[in-house]
Amino acid sequence: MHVPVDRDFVFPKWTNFIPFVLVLLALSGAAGAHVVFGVIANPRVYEAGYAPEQPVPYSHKLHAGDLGIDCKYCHFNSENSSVAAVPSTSICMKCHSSVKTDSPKLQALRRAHENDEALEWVRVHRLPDHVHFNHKAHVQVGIDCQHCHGPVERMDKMKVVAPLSMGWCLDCHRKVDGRGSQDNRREVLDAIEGLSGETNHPTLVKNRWEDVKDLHGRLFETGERSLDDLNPPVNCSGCHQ
Amino acid sequence: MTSDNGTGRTYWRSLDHLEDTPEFREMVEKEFRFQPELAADPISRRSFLHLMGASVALATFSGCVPRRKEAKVVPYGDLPEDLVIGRATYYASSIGLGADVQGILAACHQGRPTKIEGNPTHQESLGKTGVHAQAEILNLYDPFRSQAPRRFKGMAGDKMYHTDTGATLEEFSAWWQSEVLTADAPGAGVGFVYRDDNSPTTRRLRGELARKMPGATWYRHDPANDEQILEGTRIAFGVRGRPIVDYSRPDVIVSVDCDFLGTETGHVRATREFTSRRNARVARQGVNRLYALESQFTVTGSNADHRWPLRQARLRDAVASLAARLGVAGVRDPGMSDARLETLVADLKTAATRGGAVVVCGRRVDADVQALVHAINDRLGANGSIVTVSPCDEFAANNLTTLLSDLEAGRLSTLVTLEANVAYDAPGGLRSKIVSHLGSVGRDKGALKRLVHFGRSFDETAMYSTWHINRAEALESWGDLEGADGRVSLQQPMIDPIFKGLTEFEFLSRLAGGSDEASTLVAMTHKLSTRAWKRAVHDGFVSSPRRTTTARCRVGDCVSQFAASVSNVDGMELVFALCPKVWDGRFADNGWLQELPDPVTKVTWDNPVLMSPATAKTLGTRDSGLVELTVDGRLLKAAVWTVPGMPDGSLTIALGYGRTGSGPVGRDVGFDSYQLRGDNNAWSAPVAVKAVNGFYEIASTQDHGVMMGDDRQIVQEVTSEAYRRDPQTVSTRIKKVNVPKSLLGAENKSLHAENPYDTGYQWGMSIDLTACTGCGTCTIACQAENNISVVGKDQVLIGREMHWIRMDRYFVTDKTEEEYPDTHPELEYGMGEEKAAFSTPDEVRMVHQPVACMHCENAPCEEVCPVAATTHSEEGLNDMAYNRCVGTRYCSNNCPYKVRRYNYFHYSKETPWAEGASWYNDWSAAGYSYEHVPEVKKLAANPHVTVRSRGVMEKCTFCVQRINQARTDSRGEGRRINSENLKTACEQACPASAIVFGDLNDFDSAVSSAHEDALGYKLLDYLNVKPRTVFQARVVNPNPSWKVPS
Repeated sequence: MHVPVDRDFVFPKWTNFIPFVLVLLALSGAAGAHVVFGVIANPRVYEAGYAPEQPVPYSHKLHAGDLGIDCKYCHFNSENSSVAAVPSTSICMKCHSSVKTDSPKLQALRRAHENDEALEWVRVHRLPDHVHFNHKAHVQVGIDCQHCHGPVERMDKMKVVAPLSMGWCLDCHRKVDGRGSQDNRREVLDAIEGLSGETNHPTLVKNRWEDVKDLHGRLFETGERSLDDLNPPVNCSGCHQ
Repeated sequence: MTSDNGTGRTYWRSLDHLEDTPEFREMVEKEFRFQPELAADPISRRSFLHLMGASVALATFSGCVPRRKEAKVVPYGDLPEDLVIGRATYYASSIGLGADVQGILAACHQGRPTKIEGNPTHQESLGKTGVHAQAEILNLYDPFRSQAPRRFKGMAGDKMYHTDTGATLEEFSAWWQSEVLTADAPGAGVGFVYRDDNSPTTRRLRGELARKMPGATWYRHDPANDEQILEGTRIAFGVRGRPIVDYSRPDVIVSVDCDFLGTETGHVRATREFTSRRNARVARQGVNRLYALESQFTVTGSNADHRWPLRQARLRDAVASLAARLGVAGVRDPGMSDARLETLVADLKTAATRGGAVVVCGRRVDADVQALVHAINDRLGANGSIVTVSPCDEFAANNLTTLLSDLEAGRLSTLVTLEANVAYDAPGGLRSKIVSHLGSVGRDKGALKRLVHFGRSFDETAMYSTWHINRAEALESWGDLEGADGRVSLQQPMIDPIFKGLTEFEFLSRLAGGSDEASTLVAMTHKLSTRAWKRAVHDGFVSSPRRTTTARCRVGDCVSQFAASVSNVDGMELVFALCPKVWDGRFADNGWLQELPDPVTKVTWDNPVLMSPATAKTLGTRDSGLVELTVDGRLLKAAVWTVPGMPDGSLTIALGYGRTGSGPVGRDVGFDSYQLRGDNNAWSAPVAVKAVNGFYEIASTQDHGVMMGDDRQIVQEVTSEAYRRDPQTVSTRIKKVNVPKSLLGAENKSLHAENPYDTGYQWGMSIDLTACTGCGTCTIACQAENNISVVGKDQVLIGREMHWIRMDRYFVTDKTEEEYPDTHPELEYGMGEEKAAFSTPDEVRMVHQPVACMHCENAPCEEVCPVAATTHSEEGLNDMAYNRCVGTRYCSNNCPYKVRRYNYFHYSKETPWAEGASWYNDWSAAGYSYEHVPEVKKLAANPHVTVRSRGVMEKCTFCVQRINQARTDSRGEGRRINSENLKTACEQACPASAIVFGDLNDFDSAVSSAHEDALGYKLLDYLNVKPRTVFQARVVNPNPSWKVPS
């Protein structure tokens, strides 16, 4: 009579599938993680493309593009401060007290102005609270608004075009890095040029970038600006303060 | 035990440190002593995992739903001119504490004041501030101050009930008109009790109201008054006023219980002036000399070259002896036989003929002694040059004793209290009787029918009131303040009154039936032209000369009015002190101040009875033990804290604690010492003391943050004499105690490739220990600038205070290690055991050392961070990326200076100290909870600094937000950053100008020269971590002939 002992134990046949199942689970987990972190939660998807409805259907295309009003006419705060600031109602009313005074689209604006109430715009570009971006630092060295905000002058509805992620910020900061010897001036200038060349935004206004490069080139020649001015911070405290 | 090799001095943090007890060793070795997070956390680890599982699932779902929560941007309707959103706008104003008035510039972010700086053009602040001015921000956003007028509703048992909301000022005015004003004789039976706020407008309106209500009686009550000083001046000069001392002039200063660097009127200006003669820059020319004769160990005493511990009752004799030996005619020498007196006299005489000498008196010293000191100063030639007397303008009033007798005689039917909290801070003997009369309001028992309470919070007195009207804070009101020297500073509102409070003069004006705006009322007082008014509002003060008297000191009167002797010279005495933090109790609700370690005792959140270790031993008690104090039959049980250097038999207790009617922050904190105070606000009293059983934990930070390295490296002192003889004294000494080279075989070298850090800006700091007085202003300034949390007493007890810049304090005794008796290994140290018998030497000095992150070039913290959350910037900053930190705390463990702070809780959102506190039920009834911090507190935050979350490490950043802004600004203007335009918060606030910050690559900068200075040394330099902060050794100027009798 056969007495079963331990060594006689034989794995049932179905256990042969366990490794396959495990591999399959791992693969699908990895794929899921990729979908979650690489696609859904990726700032390129998560941030870029966001275009909420606003209480007043303001068109940047009309104002900045067709009418050619300078960005800093309304967002003048960006020249002096870390925040660009949404313009106050009174700035809109500077023109709209005589232009389009009875447009139904501007009703919310007029009502806010007359009742001395605040107009609540929906925030489009937003960085996390632990990131302290400074508009002034970028505007005063000649970085175009379009470089981060995209072709605003062609947007009817304001839309986020850039991922606004840390990696995306650092891409630029590393490229325009003029640290080290003063001899790499050429490289730095090329890097600036390169920025406009290989931009992620096909619609970026290219000729403006030529201007920036020319401006810097000229200032270097005259000694008005040194390479120090082109040292965007790449260390943590540059933005995390 | 810590000893400074070769100098013969010993530096120690506490007696535990000196004796190197097991408790102290444990404190040092176990950095994260106590980890009750899981126990204290309502969510256990297991349920946490459950929750985590669920939240992962939820997170997956939320990935599929629309992108992000909609956020709103709310721009201005009409942007005010010149306002730049995202940048601070500065407005001049002023803040007063009695006659101590400081000019300030308040940084406002879109109408929201977030930080206070000194006003550089204001004579009293000269661009600097004290702790109270820095902490004013928190007073403004205190959610527990009174938010609306309240009306008495009815009795429920023995308790009075008030309306919460709904009562209005108009209702009050109508009530006042019908109930009080219509009496036939206006004001008959009406009493006003006020605390003087030194505002000329308030004074004017008091006068107007008094004319309108001639029958009314006025009483003044200020527990922190300068009455003795004013009376002393009256005896000596014939006018009530304050002596204004120019501390930058005398070579020798003798302080008679005068804490002019801490709690006396004008301490910010005094600190500026005093340290202008006592800092590393002038050390080569010699520094001034300060003698302190005092019982309490004060900040001033801690900065003295020689401190003579004298019981309060002995000060009188000491001054008389000084006067007699200095040749003030007619003074009888009480015959104190102490060699120190002769030394003092000789030094004063010599100095008087050279640079000048002065004796100064604090507010606790009796008026006749003050007058005798004026006579001494006359003899020293100080009057008129170093000391000028400024008469003060007063509104005549009675005192609380008269109030009580009027109440007892039934002469008052209506009482109005103006910011005077008599039910709390009246002297103990009067208080209970006054309170019993107040209790008749609403019960129809006694003559007093109505009590109108005007104040910032619904406090102890308000609980008895028929009406309570809420006061506006300094930052939200118009006003004017008269300083000690008679010059007037203006206040302007930074923000509309958040809770619609009134200023005191607005309230008085309404009582008189007026309805003028606050700004009109102030303008009417000063009658300036429009141009001059605008200028004054812009500057923050009305430009005018000091108010001085030309009267000469009447030495004869001073001598004849001096009472030669006083009883109770030998028994135990109790001295009352104004707390340098909560003052007389008015700042009890300010968490920043409550948690600031006392400059001398390092005690937070408490006011223990201070006494010398020998006294404690005699009484049979010890640190944290309990004693029963009895004064005139009134009893108080309080905890003990020993302070070496206090005279035996003299006890000190701070006022302002043990409040029952403050907001939750200050409620039941410490001991109600007003209970023991004698009538007429006496500053000291004979006391009977008895040790009783019990133990009361005191959260002192004196043994926190012990640095990991050779103790001999930490504090360096040098005498003025030695420094002049050999400027290299300190560096020679440092080299001697450094770790022997042979250990490493060569110069210190790092294993890693070292970055030279020689291009661009290279930030560094220097701290001048000669100038630093230890006041703690830097700590509060940093807290305000960097959104640093308050953690509460329980957390401080386990070493979790969050201050980025801490003030280390060392006792100094002139003995070497060998001279001390051996430690006592045979004794068991423990809770119930008595500490080893240790008699402290007679003269104990003190050194203060502010310590913040040193931004080491070879930072040990960076090496151990597993997630690279802390890294180095090219400008030499040790950066901290909060959102990357996962909270391993390795960095803190590896930091030799122990400057890193960990968020054990989400302090900005939760208040861990709330739960379990006695007031917690009230608080939750008001709609607040453990997880819920009131909204208004968020307004206090600096928008340029990230608010940290739970589980994140933080530390000093060298105010990187200020660096970044300065960099952007200077780049725009095409220049390098000018250190004048870039100051860290601590540097900007420091009244001693001890902290200097700047670019080490700019060889002309002050910080560069400090780094090159011969006095400069780096803490634990031999570790080769290359700190960026240099300390400049403390230069002291002892008198070689000073001998402490054994």
